[in-house]
Amino acid sequence: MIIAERKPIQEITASLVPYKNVLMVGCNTCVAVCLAGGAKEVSVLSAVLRLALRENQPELTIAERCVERQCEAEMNAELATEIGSYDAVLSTACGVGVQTLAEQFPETVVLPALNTKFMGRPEELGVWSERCAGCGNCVLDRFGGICPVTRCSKNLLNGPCGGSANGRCEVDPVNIPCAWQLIYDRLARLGQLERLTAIEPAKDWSTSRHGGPRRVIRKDVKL
Amino acid sequence: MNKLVIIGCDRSAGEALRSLQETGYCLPEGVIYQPLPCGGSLDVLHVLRALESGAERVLVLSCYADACRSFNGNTWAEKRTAAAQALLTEAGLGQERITYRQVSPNMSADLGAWIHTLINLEPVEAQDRA
Amino acid sequence: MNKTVAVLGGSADAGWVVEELLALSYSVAWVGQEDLPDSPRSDGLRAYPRSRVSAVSGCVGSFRLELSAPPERAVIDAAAIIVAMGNQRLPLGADARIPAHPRVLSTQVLAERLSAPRQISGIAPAQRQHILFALDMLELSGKQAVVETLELALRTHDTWHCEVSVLYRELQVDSDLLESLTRTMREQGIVFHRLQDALPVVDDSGVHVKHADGVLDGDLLVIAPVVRPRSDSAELAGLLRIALGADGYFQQLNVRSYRPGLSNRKGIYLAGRCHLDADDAGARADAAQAAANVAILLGQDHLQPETVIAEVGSTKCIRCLTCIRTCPHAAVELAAYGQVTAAKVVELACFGCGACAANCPVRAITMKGIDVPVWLQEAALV
Ligand code: SF4
Ligand code: SF4
Ligand code: SF4
Ligand code: SF4
Repeated sequence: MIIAERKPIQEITASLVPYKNVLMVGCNTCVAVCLAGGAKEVSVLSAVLRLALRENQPELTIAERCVERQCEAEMNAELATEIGSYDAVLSTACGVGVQTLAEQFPETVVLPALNTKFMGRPEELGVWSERCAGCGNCVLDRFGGICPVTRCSKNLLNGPCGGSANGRCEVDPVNIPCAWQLIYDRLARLGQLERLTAIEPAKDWSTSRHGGPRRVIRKDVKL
Repeated sequence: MNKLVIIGCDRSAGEALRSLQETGYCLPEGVIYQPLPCGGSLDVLHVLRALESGAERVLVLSCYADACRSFNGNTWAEKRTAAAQALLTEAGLGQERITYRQVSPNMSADLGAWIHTLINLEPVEAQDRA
Repeated sequence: MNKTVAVLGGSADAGWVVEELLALSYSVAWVGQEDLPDSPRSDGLRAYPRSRVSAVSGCVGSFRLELSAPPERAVIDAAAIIVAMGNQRLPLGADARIPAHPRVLSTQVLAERLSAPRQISGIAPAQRQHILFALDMLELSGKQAVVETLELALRTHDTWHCEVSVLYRELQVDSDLLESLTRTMREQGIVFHRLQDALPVVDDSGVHVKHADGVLDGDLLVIAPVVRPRSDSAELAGLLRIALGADGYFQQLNVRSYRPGLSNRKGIYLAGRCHLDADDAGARADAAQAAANVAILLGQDHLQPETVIAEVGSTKCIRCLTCIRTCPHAAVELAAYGQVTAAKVVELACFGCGACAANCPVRAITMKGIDVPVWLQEAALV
């Protein structure tokens, strides 16, 4: 799932300076689950913004809406009749949602209220961590189900660096476990340690971000 | 316009307020008390809405640590109050508009004193300008 | 209404709980991983020895426990559950810091020697010998072990007529039994010393233990057993979805607990030394408290939810699980509403604290039974 967090309020208020009539639009899917941009966060953020702007921009009004999945044009259609009456839209969806609104309503200014961070999972209440970088060529089969691309700070594919100590990564020993320690432990548990004797060839990054924006096409589904 | 909105756990703050009222105390004009079943149900939104609706200050009350019937209601109340304060600070507003206090049912005198202090403070905006 | 109570644990503590419950004429299902202690014969009692709880579902009033007890599996339907699994005592050899030496003994070995005829006991004790008894030497011994060790020290003094000293860290004389015991011991010339943080030294000349005012030399060192939470506590806590304290014991409610022995879940209670340090008398009293807790719960004809409880709007819920992770009382679960799955508050299990409602990212949870005015909830300007 996509994990995001709110931008600093000063940055958001600065982006709102030119506008008088703003519509906040949340998304009740990924960003709601990571407590960043669902209906509740829309209410919280708009309340703070109204309080903050009361003195500096008293003429500014902020209305609140929330759609189910902002990356789906069909689900944003409910906004079509009213969106034209606002100077700007402040979206609490991920970057995908923000761009969907912008594409769908080309006459409307759409501003992001969140920083979209990564694909990850909730570790516990209030804690999310990264699991997949979307490299486009998944290697989890060879690494005991632990992604070296994402979870090794240096993306190493052939064993740990010298900064692995006591199972922790030197980049941030408190918060980051060494992915290679995890991989070793997991393979040992699965009785597959011999997999580590194979040399992993240099990764072809053209399937990742390095090959330009990507598309997926299902020919059998696309008419 | 309300000078002070008190939002509190009814098991601690409510008890303290009721025993204060039994001594003949009346909440001063412009002060209202909103009970919650537990500090755990305090919502950041409650605090912000109170301010939005015109309250000068908000006082959030919960029980003491380790006294909560639901274990961490006081922690939730404290964390969410802190979150509301952080939001106001980030937005350039003073966080002193929001106060959090722990209270036990027998602390009615303290409660009365806090209310007295909070309603006699200078308005926040005036402080900001000074 | 089902009035069966499941008692979990094969400890003496559990035995007392069973007695108390039977005396109040509840039906009891007694489950223990080990052979169960002797218990009163009663039509109301079903015993499941050498059985392990493998799954728990349901809620207060209608828990269902699945047991795995080879070769058969059993299912217990219970209105309430009492956890009384006790603690565990570690053998002396389990701690490598204690020197292995014939002069260092466990209380158990000493007790055996004491009851053996003098001539065949290993080291023939004599009047001038000095025997040291250490409580809480490296880890807590627990109240019952302290009582037993002090009784043993007194018996050693009486039987062998030798010099006896007791080393302790914190000795809380907080029961009549301990008070009369320590008084008698002092009258008999047994001396108490406060231990210093140092390991005993053992050599051919004897044992040497540091205490607050110097070093005590003796011929034998008898070390009181160490107690710890049972190693299977965490597993059972996980199955029951109740909290363990940081020390590994089942959590007591908290310091201001208005009724001791409550867990964080309705209908699950704690009794005895799985949640507190007590001697046998204290554990018996706690068993009575646990039975009283059950009686308060099951005393009425049917269970009632609290006046304030949470309710999920199933069509708003996005199944983010936040409420389930938030609820301190394990009162929310995913459930089917017709064809849709959404979070559901188990009414009887809910304490109405509202922590779930305040954390829900789509504000799908409302509190029934309390009025929060609209101006506190809705936007000032929409
Ligand atoms: S816009 Fe789409 S991808 Fe982004 S948070 Fe919403 S549902 Fe997820
Ligand atoms: S290998 Fe690539 S696709 Fe697989 S988990 Fe890692 S980043 Fe994601
Ligand atoms: S927190 Fe709200 S949205 Fe999430 S599962 Fe619970 S009721 Fe549903
Ligand atoms: S109100 Fe409290 S006890 Fe009830 S479901 Fe919500 S969090 Fe759990």
